[in-house]
Amino acid sequence: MSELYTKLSDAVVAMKADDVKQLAQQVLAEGLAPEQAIEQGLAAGMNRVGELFAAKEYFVPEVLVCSRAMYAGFDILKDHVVEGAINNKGTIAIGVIDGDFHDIGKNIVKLMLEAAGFRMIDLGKNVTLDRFSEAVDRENPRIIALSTLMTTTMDSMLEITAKLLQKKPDLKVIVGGAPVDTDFAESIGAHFYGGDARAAVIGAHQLLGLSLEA
Amino acid sequence: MTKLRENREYTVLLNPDGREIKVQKGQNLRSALASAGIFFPQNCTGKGKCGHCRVLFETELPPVQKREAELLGEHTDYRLACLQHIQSDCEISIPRLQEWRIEKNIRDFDFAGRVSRSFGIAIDLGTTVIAFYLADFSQGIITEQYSVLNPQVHQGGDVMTRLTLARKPEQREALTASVRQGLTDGIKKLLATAQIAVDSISTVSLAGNTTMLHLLLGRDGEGLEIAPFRSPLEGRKKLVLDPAWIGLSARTKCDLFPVLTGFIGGDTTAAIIAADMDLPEGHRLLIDLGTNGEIVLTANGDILATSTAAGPAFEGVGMAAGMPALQGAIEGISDEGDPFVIGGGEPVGYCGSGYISTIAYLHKAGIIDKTGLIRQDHENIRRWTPIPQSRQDLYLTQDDVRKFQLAKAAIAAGIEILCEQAGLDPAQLDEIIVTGSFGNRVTPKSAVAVGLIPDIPIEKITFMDNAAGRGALLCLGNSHFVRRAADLPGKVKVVNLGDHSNFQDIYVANMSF
Ligand code: B12
Ligand code: FES
Repeated sequence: MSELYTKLSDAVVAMKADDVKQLAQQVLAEGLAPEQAIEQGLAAGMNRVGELFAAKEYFVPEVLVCSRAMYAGFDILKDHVVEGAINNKGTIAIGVIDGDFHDIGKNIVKLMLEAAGFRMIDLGKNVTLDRFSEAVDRENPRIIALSTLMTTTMDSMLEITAKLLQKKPDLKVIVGGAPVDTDFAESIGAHFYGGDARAAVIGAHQLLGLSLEA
Repeated sequence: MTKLRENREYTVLLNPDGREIKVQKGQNLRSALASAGIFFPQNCTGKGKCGHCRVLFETELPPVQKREAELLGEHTDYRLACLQHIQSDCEISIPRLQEWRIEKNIRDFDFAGRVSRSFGIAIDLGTTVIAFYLADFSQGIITEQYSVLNPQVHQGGDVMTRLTLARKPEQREALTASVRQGLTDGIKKLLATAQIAVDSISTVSLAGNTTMLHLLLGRDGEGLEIAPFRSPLEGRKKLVLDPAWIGLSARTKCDLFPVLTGFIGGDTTAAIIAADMDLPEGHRLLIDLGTNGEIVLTANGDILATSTAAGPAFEGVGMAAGMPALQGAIEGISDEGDPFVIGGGEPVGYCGSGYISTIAYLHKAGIIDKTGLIRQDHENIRRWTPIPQSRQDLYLTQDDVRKFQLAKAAIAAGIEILCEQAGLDPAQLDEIIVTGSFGNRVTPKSAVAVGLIPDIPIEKITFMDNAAGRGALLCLGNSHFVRRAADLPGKVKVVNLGDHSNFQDIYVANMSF
């Protein structure tokens, strides 16, 4: 592995967007594979950021600054990636359920899953069952991720989960947000509960039988 | 035919006062304590999530559940009352339980100019506490004040829980009945103490948040509990309360404060009146610090209001050593790092103002950095305590600081956005008035230091005890104030933070110190 990849990863963790840009240019100048730089540099960096976030060493602002650094590098590298060379780990549709508009947690979860190599379909907030259903038809995701922060809305996750599983029995449903927990996830027939964005990444890998290391 | 008494009864002995409580076999300990009048002021209403109902078992420890063990951490001698079902006689003591000080007393209130021979009652109908103030118009004074727990707390701790319950008609009826009963009992008690007859009450003025009013009036949430959080009551100048519902004679005139939206209710409109926020003078900010933080800004002739969700962290809920502002709570930290303890004795936990002050102190000392990271490492666990030798459980943890950051940034972002909408630089504020259940104990210096409120000269920051109650008192038998209150729905511009395109960036930027 090129030493540049390690440097890229470190620069993401250190929140240094300018360094990331410069290193990304260097990757191109040296003729290295941009897809490897993305996976082993940028994504690996974000993976470490996720760990720091889960350990509460980094907080929301730091995660966002790191992600900006990552995207600064990604924007430079993405046009040089050979079609299909980046391994897409699967499609995940994510949304905050109907009646709730708290979307910051969902945004962080989406960001981490995207950085980990999943193709993300962001349905936004206040998402009705119909809109989740449409997304399942249209995008054929392997996972649906449901978020809510309110006790007044969480119960409708039961119906959403049941209806979506009826439609697509091999779909995996992961849930999260402050009032939700493992017991609740089990009780509504969801496959996984994640307490934070890092847990979402771990859960998505587990459910699809993927290894986190790749 | 008498039923066989197969239901065994056990005795729970409460130390140190030696009180005995009879409990049915298998009964939940938290609800058994509640029926004996003992409850845990701030809690997660028995979901086993907050750890506030912890009790120390002095007899044989019942088995611990997984979630219980997680919440209790090092306190292995404790159990959570809400997760325990009594299977034998036992002895317990409750470390964080005391006579809950729920007084919301108002000092120095003057009814100058209102002379009449009758009485009036001002009521602050809060989610947790109901405060009653009996005004004697002939003397121009508050003759009696009385605060009591809102009996609905036994049905559900926070408004969201109660609104969820209220979706079922029987539960809604029970909630309505219990709040009306609470009001009836409170008024009765007030009248008995003052030795006056119910007929002499000419007027009542009641301030309650939107949820409280819905339930009082016999309505369910009607959707106010989900986005976009609107209430059919909003904008109505006149809300009608039948005096008979709260044990008053038909002649009593009842004025309810109008609501502005689902989460800016009559408590806020009352506070607006108390703080004169509807008079277009100067640049002034009113903050009601609580689980739901309402913020009102008067600037450049406009009145803007918003509600932001701090969550219960400021009330100590969900924090490792959090507790209400009771005896034993650390309510502040000196410049040298020594704790100020309410009542002066041994500290048992932190209340909201204690967290604000401690975090301000630690930030200044460089122990908490700009990002909120505790830089001092104890056995790889990031935490800090003012008294390392004595109490092992008085730590401020990294997780506490993170929760605190979420809460303070929600208030700060609300303030920033209101100022932005009014085209005002926060530094230009002439006055900031802080009110709310724990507002009184916060020092302006620490609130500014943690970035909770804008950095303006300390002397421009004032505290008002129970602004909602004061507003209700002002409107008692005073048609001028009643009219001012009724006009608010047309005057105040509601700003919905959820609709702001840039909320996330502003919120996140305010998380740092
Ligand atoms: C920020 C915030 C807001 C913002 C929302 C902005 C937005 N666009 O999201 C604003 C200020 C607008 C807001 C408004 C309201 N809010 Co609010 N809000 C919060 C607050 C303070 C923080 C939430 C947050 O963003 N956290 C940061 C993110 C990063 O964390 P997170 O959301 O928990 O997400 C993480 C995990 O949960 C997990 N996760 C999340 N989703 C998912 C999904 C999956 C699949 C997985 C695996 C994991 C996962 O991973 C995330 C990252 O690690 C919380 C209290 C709190 N401390 O949590 C209250 C809170 C959620 N709000 C609450 C309420 C009630 C409201 C209001 C409806 C009423 C009010 N004023 O209090 C209002 C709306 C009123 C109105 N419109 O007038 C309540 C809900 C209570 C309940 N019992 O339901 C809370 C809990 C506060 C409280 N206790 O009162 N709020
Ligand atoms: S009330 Fe028991 S844990 Fe919250």
